[in-house]
Parts: sequence; C-alpha cells; structure tokens
Amino acid sequence: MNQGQEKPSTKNGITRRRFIKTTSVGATSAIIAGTGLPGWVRRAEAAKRDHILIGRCNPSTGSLAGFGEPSPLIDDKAVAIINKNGGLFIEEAGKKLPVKVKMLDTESDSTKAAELAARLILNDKIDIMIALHTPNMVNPISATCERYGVPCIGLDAPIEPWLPGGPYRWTYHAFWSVAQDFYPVCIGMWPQIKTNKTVGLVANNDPDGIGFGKVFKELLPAQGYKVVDPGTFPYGTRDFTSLINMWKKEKVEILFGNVITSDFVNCWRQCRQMGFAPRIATVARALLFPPAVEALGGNLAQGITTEVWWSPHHPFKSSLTDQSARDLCDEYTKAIGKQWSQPIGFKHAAYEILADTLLRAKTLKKSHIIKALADTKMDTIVGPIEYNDKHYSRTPLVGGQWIKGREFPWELKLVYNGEHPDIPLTGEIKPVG
Amino acid sequence: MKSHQGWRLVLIAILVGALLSLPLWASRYVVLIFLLFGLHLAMAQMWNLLAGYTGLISLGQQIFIGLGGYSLAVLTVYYQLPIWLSILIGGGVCVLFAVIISFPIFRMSGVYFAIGSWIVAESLMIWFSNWDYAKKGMGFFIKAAYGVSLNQIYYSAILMGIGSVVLVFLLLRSKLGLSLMAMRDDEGASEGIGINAYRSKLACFLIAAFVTGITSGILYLNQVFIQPYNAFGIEWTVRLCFIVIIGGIGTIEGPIIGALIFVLLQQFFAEYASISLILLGVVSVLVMLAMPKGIIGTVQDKLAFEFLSPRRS
Repeated sequence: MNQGQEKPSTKNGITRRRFIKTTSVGATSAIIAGTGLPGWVRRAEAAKRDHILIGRCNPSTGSLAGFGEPSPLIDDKAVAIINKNGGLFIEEAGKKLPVKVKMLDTESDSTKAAELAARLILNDKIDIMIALHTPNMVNPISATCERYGVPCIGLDAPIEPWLPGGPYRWTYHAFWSVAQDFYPVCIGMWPQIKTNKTVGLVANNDPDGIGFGKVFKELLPAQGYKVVDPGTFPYGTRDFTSLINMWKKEKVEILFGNVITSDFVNCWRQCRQMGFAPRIATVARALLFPPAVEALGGNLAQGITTEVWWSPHHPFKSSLTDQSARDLCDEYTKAIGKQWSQPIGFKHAAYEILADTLLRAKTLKKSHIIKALADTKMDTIVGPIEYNDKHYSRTPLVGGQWIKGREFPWELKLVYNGEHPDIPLTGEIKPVG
Repeated sequence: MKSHQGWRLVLIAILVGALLSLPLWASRYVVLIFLLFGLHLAMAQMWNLLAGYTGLISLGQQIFIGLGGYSLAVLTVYYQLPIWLSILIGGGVCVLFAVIISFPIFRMSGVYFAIGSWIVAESLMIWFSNWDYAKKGMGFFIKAAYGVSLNQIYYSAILMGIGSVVLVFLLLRSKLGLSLMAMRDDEGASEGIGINAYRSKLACFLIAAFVTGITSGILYLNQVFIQPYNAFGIEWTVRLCFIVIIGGIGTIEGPIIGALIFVLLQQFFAEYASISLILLGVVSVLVMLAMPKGIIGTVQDKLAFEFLSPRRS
C-alpha cells in the first residue's frame, strides 16, 4: 500500500494495520532473539551441577549483625567437614557430591531477605535453603521457600512468631517456644530473688517483641504477678522517660522484655539516670552477644539476665565432628580471638541437619528432601531435633546472667536450668547491679 | 518525521513483545528481574510524575506502598476476598487516604511538602505497628499469594510498568499535562492564565496514589510477608529517588532506564555483602556528577531528541 494513500486513524498518523504489523515484527524478533541469548538468560532445565548448593541469607550487617557475625567461619568449617570425604552421596549423580554454600547479606532487612532468597532460588538454583536468626529473617525467607517450593531448614527464631506462616510444606524449623520454654525459665528463675512480683514490660514493636509481650501478659497474672505494660515502641526510640516514669510509679521490681540492642542500651542508661533500678532485669535478644553487653558501658550490665539457648556448657555433641559445645566455642575463639556467642551452635546445627537429611534422602529431588526432613530424629550440638506435624522441633532453654568476667570482660553464667537439669549451672543468680 | 515515527514504533513493539513473551523463553530468574523492574518502573514513574512534572517532591510514597500491601494482607487474611479484588480495593484505599491527607499537606509547598509527606508515612508506620487489627509489628503472612504463579505476578507487574508509562505519556499530552508543565515552569504565571494549580496537582497525587497502591499489592504478592517497618520505610522512596534521578527526572524514559539499572545493580551488588549500599551510593554520585540531568536527560540534551516526547508533534 502506498504510504501517501494511507488514511491516518489517529492524530499521530499511526494506523491500526501499521501498529499490528510492527507489534508482530517486534514480538517475533524478540522470540527469535531469545534463542540466541546466553545460558543464564534462557529458560533452564534442572540444574546439572557437580555439587550440592545451599542458600544462606545472613544478616552480616545492620541491626542483627551480632547474629550473623560468626558466619562464614562456622559455616565454612561445617561444610569442610561434610566435604572431607568427598561430600554426600547423591543417587542421580551416582557419586558423592561436595556441598557449597552461597551466602548473601540481607543487611538485617526483611524485604531484602525475601528478595535475596528468591534470587538464590531462581538464579543460583539452590537445592536447600538455610534460614537463621530472628523472625525478621526466618519469616520472609521461609515464606519465599514456600512460594517457590524449595526445602528450607530454619533455626534460631522463636516458634510463635514463625507459626502463623503455616501450615508449612517446605520449611522445617527448630528453636524454643516463648510460652512453653521461655516463660517457664522466667517463672522458675525470678522467685530465686525476693521481689514484689511487679513486672514492667519493655518490648519493641516487632514480631519478637509483641510475641513475647502477648504470652507474658496472658500467663503471668495467674502466677500472682502484676504486669505493667507501657506499650511497645519502634526501633530507634531515644526517649524512654514516659516508660520509666510508669515503671517507677507502679513500683516495678522486675523488668522484662524483648528489644534490639541499641534500644535497650538507651533505655537501660536512662533507667539508671532516672534512678530506676529493678531487682531483676530479664531482657531477651538485646544482650545475647558480648559486644552488646560491653556497649552498655561501665558496670551497667552487671546482673542482667537473659535467655540462653546454647553455651559451651551445654552437654551436646556435634553429629558431624563429635566435638563438644566447648570444643566448638574454643575453636571459634582460637580462630578469630573473639568470645563465643549463642548463634555459633545453631549455625553448626543447621549443617548437621542438612547432612543428616541428605544422607537419608540420597537425592536432590526436592519432594524427597522434605520427606527426609520430616523424618529427622537426631542429636545435634544444640540438642535433639525431631519435627512435629507443625514442622517444628523445640530446643532446650535455660536462664543466664551477665557478670564481670576473668577471661573476657563479661561472662554469661548459667543460673537456671529447671526444665533441663542436664545442662549444668555455672553460677548463682544475684540481683541486678 | 514519518520514518522516525515508524522506527520508534518498531522499537517499542520489539521491547513490548520481548517483555510479553519473556516467560516463554527466559529463565525464571530473568522473569523475576523483569518482574521487579515492572514494579519499580510503575512506582518510580509515579514519583516522577509528582516530582518531575508537578513539582511535588514526595518523600512519602511509602504511604501508598504500605497501604496497598496491608490492604491485600487484611482483605485476604481476614475476609478471604479474592486477591485481585483486594489489590484493586488497596488502590481505592490509597486514593481515599490521599484525598484525606491532601488537605493538610497541599497547604505546604517545596521542601515543606516533602517533609510533610514523610511525616505522614512515619506516623502511619507507628500507627500500624501499634494497631492490634493490623497485628502490630508482627506482620502478616499473605498466604493466599502462594496460589499465584510467578508468571501471573510477572504479567501483572509488567502491565503496571508499561501501563504507568502509557498513562504518564497520555497524561502529559492531555490538557492536564500542559497545565502541569506550565506550572512546573512558573506556577504564578500559569495561575495567571487560568490554570487551577491545586486541582492539577491533586489529580496527579491521586493518580500516583492509586497506581502505587496497586503496584504495591502486586509487590507483596511476590514478597508474601509484610511488616510495618519495611512497608512504610523511607527506603522505598530512596529507591524511587535513585531510579528517577539516575534515569533522568522529568522525562518519561528516565524511570525506565533508572528502574532497569537499579534492579540489575541490586542483583549484582548482592554478591558484595556489606558494601552494596556504598557501591549504590557511589554509582549515584558518579552519575549525578557526570550527567546532572540523569542518563536520559543528558542523552536528550546531546542528541536533541526525545524518544517518548510529551510534546504533541
């Protein structure tokens, strides 16, 4: 057709026919172009690799960096042991395949954790995901694994904030429960010091903080405790005056809560400045790591109690190395000169569960892996693991107290073991200060 | 001129064709990248409409990202409404909220508007993190999203991306677009010739709220887990600023290039744990120094040619 005779149907001279012509040319060329593109762009079939690939989204930086710090050292050591004799036998390969880990930094951001998990699944085509360290990391990562159908081994995030994402199909999780484990520790530990049984809550407004607050508010009154709840607060709160005034007014003698380190540092310093000195301060999450305790400055950490999910004193052994908890901690300290911290055990346990599962599954077929995961029944360095029908396994919890140390500036003494007497005590509980 | 038009159409057709056929020939990872591209493009194009054409520098676009995501979560989790209807209602909620906040924040201009919109977003974050109904800071698992395939989310994201470009293109060529450009150049003078600045700005603000809200619903279909700190976080607006400024503010093509660069850089830098944010910062500083008008703005200046011109030829 002659261009000149074409009757424009729009102001711009674009005719319907011309539009259809150009669109089809475009679409065809795009499809043809697709066949000549590099491999990573093209639609891939099942990944054929000479190794087993594990995905790890680690909070190496940001507010949860304390949890992420022992990585990649602990991960590398565990993987080296698994690979010592060639790795794990995989039927479809007909031989042992070594394990490799791809670790990416989530910057402690849950949006980024989900994005990176999707990238590890779709780009790197990982065989199994390991999700660790607080609900902020484990929740988005396990949700992404559920979406894309990838087996996920979760650890180190309390059960309650993680459970609403279920019923899970692809994720199996192990840690302690706030109601069934943390609560009994507090109820057992607190009466060892005489108080007026008035508990002041201090909690961040996040899954951890709210989860803890909810359980304790529900359960404590039945035990004769009075709960003073000034409400939760967002990350980065600087002024705690109103909370402290309320605790003082209500004569709070037990401060209990779940907050991030920086917020607790601010809160606790202001408590002291304003003359608020409870006899017991049990704070989850904030003071798990020695650098966080040192950040309080001076003697301010003396006597603060916290949950202990793992320590060198735990009487468990690694199924990979036969190392005791003490050996693993000593190895870590020797390697980088830093004091042990609780996530070390759980990082190591993740690889124990991984190796045990694949030894039994003997395949990288995802449906077989989750079947093997479901049948897990093993002893790890963090205790026995056996998942229930809701896909979780509870790990033991005891109570600890920070006191001035000899080897390191601050040491975490085990002061309560009511539910797990097999975990030895290393100190006696004392009032704060 | 005609031949220019023809090539332009062919190129657009190729690009659109490639995007539409992507799941047929590309890997799922590439589909994910372009899914993120589509979402970021739609949201950035809306921020560009406000900042680049209306002069409304909003630091509070995360208001609509949070509201869109939470609408999807609440409606699907509590009321089991269909996903797509929930996303659409989310868009409506955003428009409604935009109307409400427009009364106070439209009284501010320039930097005051920017701060005002940010404060609204921060207040919403605190509100949602203390609101029992929205599960406080616990967040929601949007489990209904498991039933939606990657391809379905991809096509909705691309639809929003392409749709946002078409929308802004048509909008700028309409009477409203002419008013906006007149206002951007000299608001006082434009009002002198009978342009109702308030109404034009409000129209753009509401359009941006609607599109951003719906895009956010699709975003959270992909993310599944939503929490107030991330949904209402300033990080979203920082992303949008980066995309628009790198690409070229006040150009329709800018957010397209910017979104593509951002998504690719984000994927690439993920390998460099702990310095990824520094690298992203360095890239933006370098681009701003070398090309103060952004990539598209500078290219357009050099070539004296606009690919998607808002001007009617």
